[in-house]
Amino acid sequence: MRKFLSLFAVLLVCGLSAFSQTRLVTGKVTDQNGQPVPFASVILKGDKTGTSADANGAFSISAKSGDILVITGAGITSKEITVTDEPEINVLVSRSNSALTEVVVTALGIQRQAKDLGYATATLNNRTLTQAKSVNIAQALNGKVSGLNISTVNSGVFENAKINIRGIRSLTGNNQPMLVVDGAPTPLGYLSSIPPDDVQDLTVLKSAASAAIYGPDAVNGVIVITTKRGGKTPTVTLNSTVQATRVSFFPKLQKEFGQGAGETVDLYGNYGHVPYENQQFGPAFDGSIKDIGVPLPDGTQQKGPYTNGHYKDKVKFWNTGLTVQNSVSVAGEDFYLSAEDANIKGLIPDDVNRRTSLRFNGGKKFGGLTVNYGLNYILQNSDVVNEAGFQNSFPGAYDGGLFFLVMQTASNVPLLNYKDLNSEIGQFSNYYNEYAVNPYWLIHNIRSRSREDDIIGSIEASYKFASWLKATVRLSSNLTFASTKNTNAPVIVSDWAKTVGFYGSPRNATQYSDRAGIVFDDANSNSRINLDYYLSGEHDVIKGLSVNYVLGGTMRQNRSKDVAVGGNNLVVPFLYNVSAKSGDANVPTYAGGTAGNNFEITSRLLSAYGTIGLNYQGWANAEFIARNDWDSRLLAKNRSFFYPSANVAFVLSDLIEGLKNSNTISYLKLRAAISKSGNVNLSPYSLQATYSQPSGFPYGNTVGYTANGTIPSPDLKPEFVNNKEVGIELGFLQNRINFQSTYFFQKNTNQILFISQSSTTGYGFGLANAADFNNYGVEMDLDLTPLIKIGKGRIDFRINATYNDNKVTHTLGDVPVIVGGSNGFIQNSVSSPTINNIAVVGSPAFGFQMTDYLRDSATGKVIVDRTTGMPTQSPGLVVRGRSLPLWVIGITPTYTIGDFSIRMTWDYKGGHNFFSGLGSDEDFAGISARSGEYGRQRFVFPNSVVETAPGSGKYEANTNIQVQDGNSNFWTSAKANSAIATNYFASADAIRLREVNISYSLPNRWFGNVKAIKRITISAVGKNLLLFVPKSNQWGDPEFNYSATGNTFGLASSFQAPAGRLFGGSLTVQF
Amino acid sequence: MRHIHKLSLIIIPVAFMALAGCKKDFLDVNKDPNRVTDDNITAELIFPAAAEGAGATPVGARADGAGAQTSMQFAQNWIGYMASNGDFARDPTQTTYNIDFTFGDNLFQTRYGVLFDLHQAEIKGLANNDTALAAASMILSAKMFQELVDLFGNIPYSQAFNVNLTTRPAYDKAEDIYQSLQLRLDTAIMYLGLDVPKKFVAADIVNHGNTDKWIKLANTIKLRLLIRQSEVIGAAPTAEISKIFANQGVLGAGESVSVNPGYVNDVDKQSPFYANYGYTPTGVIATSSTNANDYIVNILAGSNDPRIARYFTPVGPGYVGDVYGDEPGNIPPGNQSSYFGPGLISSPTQDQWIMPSYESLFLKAEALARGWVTITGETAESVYKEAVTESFVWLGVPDPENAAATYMANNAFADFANAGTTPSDQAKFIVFQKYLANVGIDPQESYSDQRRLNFLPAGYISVNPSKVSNKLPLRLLYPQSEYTTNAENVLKEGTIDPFTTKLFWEP
Repeated sequence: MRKFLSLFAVLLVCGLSAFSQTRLVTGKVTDQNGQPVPFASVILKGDKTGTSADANGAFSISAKSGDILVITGAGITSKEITVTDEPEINVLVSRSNSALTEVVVTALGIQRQAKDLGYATATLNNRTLTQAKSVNIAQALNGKVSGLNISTVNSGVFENAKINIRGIRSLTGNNQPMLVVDGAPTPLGYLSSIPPDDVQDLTVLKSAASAAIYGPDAVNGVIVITTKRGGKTPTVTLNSTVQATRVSFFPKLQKEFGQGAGETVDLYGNYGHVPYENQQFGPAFDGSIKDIGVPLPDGTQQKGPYTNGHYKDKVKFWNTGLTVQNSVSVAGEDFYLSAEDANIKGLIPDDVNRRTSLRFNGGKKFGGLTVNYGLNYILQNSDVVNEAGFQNSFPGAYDGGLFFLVMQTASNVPLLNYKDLNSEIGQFSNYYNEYAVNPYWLIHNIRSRSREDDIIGSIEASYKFASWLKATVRLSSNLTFASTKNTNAPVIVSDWAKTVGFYGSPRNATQYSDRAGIVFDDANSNSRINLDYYLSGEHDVIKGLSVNYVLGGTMRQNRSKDVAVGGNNLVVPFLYNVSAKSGDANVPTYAGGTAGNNFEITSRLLSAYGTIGLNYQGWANAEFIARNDWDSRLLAKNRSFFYPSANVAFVLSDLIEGLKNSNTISYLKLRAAISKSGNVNLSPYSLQATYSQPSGFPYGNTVGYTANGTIPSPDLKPEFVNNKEVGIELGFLQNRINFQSTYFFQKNTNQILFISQSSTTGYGFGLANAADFNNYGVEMDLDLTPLIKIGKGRIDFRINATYNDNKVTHTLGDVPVIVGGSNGFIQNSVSSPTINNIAVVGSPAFGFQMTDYLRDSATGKVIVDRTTGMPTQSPGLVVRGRSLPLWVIGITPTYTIGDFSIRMTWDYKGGHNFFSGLGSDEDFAGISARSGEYGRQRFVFPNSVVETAPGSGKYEANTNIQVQDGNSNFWTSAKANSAIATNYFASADAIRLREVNISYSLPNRWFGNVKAIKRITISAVGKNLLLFVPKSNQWGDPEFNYSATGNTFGLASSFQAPAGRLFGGSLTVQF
Repeated sequence: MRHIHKLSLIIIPVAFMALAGCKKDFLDVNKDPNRVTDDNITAELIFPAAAEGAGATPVGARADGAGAQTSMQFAQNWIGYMASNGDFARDPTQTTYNIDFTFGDNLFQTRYGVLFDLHQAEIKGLANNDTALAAASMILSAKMFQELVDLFGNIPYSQAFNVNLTTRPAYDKAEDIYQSLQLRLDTAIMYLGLDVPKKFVAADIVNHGNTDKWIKLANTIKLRLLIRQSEVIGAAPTAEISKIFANQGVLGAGESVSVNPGYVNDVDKQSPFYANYGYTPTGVIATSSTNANDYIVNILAGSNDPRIARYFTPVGPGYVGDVYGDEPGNIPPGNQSSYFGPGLISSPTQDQWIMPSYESLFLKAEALARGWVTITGETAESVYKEAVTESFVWLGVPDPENAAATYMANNAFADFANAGTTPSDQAKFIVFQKYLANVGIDPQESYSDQRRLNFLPAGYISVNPSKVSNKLPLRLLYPQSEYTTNAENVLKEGTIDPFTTKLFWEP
């Protein structure tokens, strides 16, 4: 295939007759990491006879012993090797820049050489991906590719992450890339199920242009994964990794004050100590021995020094997480077989997630017919605490989530002592806190267990009719069967607590009341079937000009079904079956999308597409693509949409004579692309307003329906992304220094949006094509390979940087669009702030819209009352900051000496902001560092002004009017403090040491040169080892977000465990 | 070029195959198989949920999660009926009257939600010749619109619920809305004179197709609209009054209007008031933060009012209320405060009141006292006595007639002989008894009456020293959601001060 010819091979003259005594010498070109180097050119020295290696690095050439072969190629250092009598020659070259030599798997699984492409891509090999032994590929990508922003939104056992390539293209719809595994479109969720060890290589197609052929799913870029397919020599690889996780980042807390909330007050108005309080507005720690909790049934009273001695308990409460991964793979001729098991124990005690995966890939060639197939089965079992379901057992309580329960523990209270739920002090009814449940009880009793079975299969057949025509049909399917069971144990309270536990009275009924067990059972299945069929080929039109072409179509069907039912009054304690209940079943109604319950959904897509690519003398490439889609989710009249794209690439270093042999500039390529892509960002069945039965209905035979909250415009049309990009790729000093940069500008029109509207219209939301915005930026990659050589060792250095900004240019009626936030945002305190991600014309998508103090418009300072000294809330909401980073920078230094290497990934994200809901909850509990700032005394509200005279509208600096109460009446006051979102809003800048890997391949002699063993590598790995944040962030990891889905960013709640740090070791044995 | 020809021979058929694969209906799979849509909804499916909502929302839809206070809790507390106990820190917003923009947001949005369903039922009922259902929807809607006006003043009305017209409805003047509600109630009464379809009788979980009762409810609301304006209208509203009493009059003794879709003792299925202030399905008290207010307990206990045993539960020998706005340390904890009694929470399946009979009678008594109407054989005094007695009956006081008579005889403030001679004095006298009959039941009516007539004896104001006023707010602030989504219109209402920006009927 002509287009696969490497950079230098095109210069060769082929087909010279062979000399006598020559034979066919076969060989393979591999790099220092054992990875094959594709398309290198192999020339017989002094003779110009030559060939080029294939995609797997294999070549064959006619030569005789003693001949010298010269191996050259883009991005590798050239090498000379003498032909001996050995039948096979293995050529080891050092690869200086993988980006140039890499084969890029583009649309439809077609392999192309990076230098021919008119758009930006990045390819990572297996070694880069598995460097830190991440369980999850998304985690492993972090910091390694320019243009890619991955946010790890919590520290749970699922390692949920949000991935954005080059920012966003949809305000409220999907912004996550498409995933293609071995040519088959696959739901992105599988990225967390596919074992990184199975991945041969991973290509990120960053641009909408690069992905034009994939259609609507690809507007956000594509992650193309090729799994291993086996090789000529059978290899068995065993890998074992153990990693531990510890809490790495804890909010700043006050360490001076204990329990109390004003139940007892002394003559001077100081709050007394209240041994059973959850709020910590009591007196300062004084070292005296004080009561903890109420007197116990056995007559004893817990006591302890009134100090902050148990402050650390709140950190120690979290487990040391443990991740154990074992995998074995067998690669042989035409097949690859692997088994992997990952077992994750989380930071939250008892949280576990286990994944077992089996894969079989194979293929065969029969003449012109090639058949490839692959089957992957993944079983995932998890068992985690169900924080969201906690409130169902304690309606009306302030318990919140697990983190909040921990935060409601004063620092004089020995939290860890309550771990034994059977002990006198640990049992539910005897817990010291009157207003919060023992967090260990929550862990043990409110659970969510789920199982997911995934089957990903594909079969592809292609037939080569002629050198210029090949037909391919690929059928691929993803099936998921998932079931979840949420169980809330019954609350069984002792008679003591129900009658006399609280100094002779019943204990607080909100916590200490019997409650029946609850069960919720959900089962769903998803299937996605994809049929691709296309003709492809290439043809030399005239000498030096070749054309390649693809013409094809796709049919796709997505189906999902969900059945869910629950019971709120289980009759037999600890028997969790939906039929073992009294009263009506809890049958949730379908609320749209695929996140709800009880639904059946079908959607279909048809596409037809064609491409024509032109290659002129190897250095000039042009490609034209056109596609039309028909999408079932729109009305028939809007269903069909067409979009074209084009891109060009010029390798000037192959054209300009002066550069051909330059020692300074070894590679120079310019590229440009323009494209348009259509996208239907819409759930099926979204064109009509719907009705559902409200909570409580039906009552027996009485049914009742209420209008649901959204009124759609039935005339919705697809969104369009108009993408333009230009790029340059440069290689210096024989490609030891490589630089790539791309500027992109995307105009996103016709955005399908949920628009918040006045509840007086009857619908809280409208759904319409309602906004346009521009998304633009520059991405840069700099590779220094090697940066320096120190004796035998070398330091390589890679840095990538992305600047990405966007601006909303139009919204319907210029009304700001609320993307997400307080709507469904989980927060504990009654007095919690309102905060939303919002798109406002002229501002970036997204800004934050939130509550703020009433301020003097002239100075921006907070206005306080002349008498009370208290600030107050402003009626309007303010728009501030941005939720997505302006800069994402990844730095990957590597030090290698012989078989020893150290690799690190650092990253920096900055220019954006985040809000911590935990901050407001902590103020409510009185444990935040903020709330202790003024020693719980009255203080002058900082940077405040007072009105010079009532009604004057003029303000002067407030230097002496103190707030009337510096204790709980200030910190828990909604208007004065805890409902003001700006108090908990901070810069999200962060510098992180994302990954470290120190590995050593043991010399063969150590294990007696046993032939069977090819390689043994041991490594030490670490993740998220260091995190640096600015002082203004007192609360947590700024990447955390309350929701792992959707477009909200930078909104953290207290329903998340603190951030974790991982470290461990790994052993790999290859046979 | 010859190759290209051959190529097209293959490509064209394949391309056709690709498109032929899509049979014409291959893509027609977007009809929702999961939800009810405008294609198949009927007025009769909407009405029961809307009517239930009309009963439940004024009680106060419970806000999700923490705190678990109903959206009308503030009125219960402000007016002296309920208070939070010593178990919980006092609410720094509510007890200081320093209300913010989120304060009434939930209330505002839930009520507009129910009003929209009533609007849909009305439109679809009329379209389907179910005029009775449309009329019933209009009557419930008029009641709720009045209650919204009484809290917020000018609100979206004429442009509400018409997304095709505007997504940002303008605010109508409160007095214009009052005027329009009278007209709509007249229309509803006219509709009720037409045919009543069987399908409405089946869907009517309020009056079970009894059109007379619907007409009387409409008349009661008409009267309540007029009474509310007593302090600002110059002359007696004779024309409207005569319409009311010429056609059935208002609801009388034993004619309480309530709704019950079939409440059962299960999660989310209990009668709303019971669910908020009674016991959970497992028998736990539904609200651990809220108990009797010290103020009302003192009045009831001080007058030997037997209704106290129906409103509240005793603690030891007597009744204990919590002082509103006090430090938690100074007031008794929940288990030593009086909880709600059998007159309010008789059963988890109890009917949810929409308009109690006695309230209608008190309205009628006030209209008589003001001389707005004369009815043969009835006087302000006779109807007043009937109303008080009806309150005793309604609450289930044993031997209600005699108990009521004794109560009225023994207490100067209940004996009509002390009602005074001017209409204004008599009105205050009557309204105070309406207040005592409405404990926990209709706090909004009492809050409105207090703002209208300022009749309450001192002692109901919060004792929180941080309170920003010694008087109750005259109104609520417009909600945050309106400033977010309908800013240009709500901002036209100017700066609202809850203590000085009066509603049109406030003197």
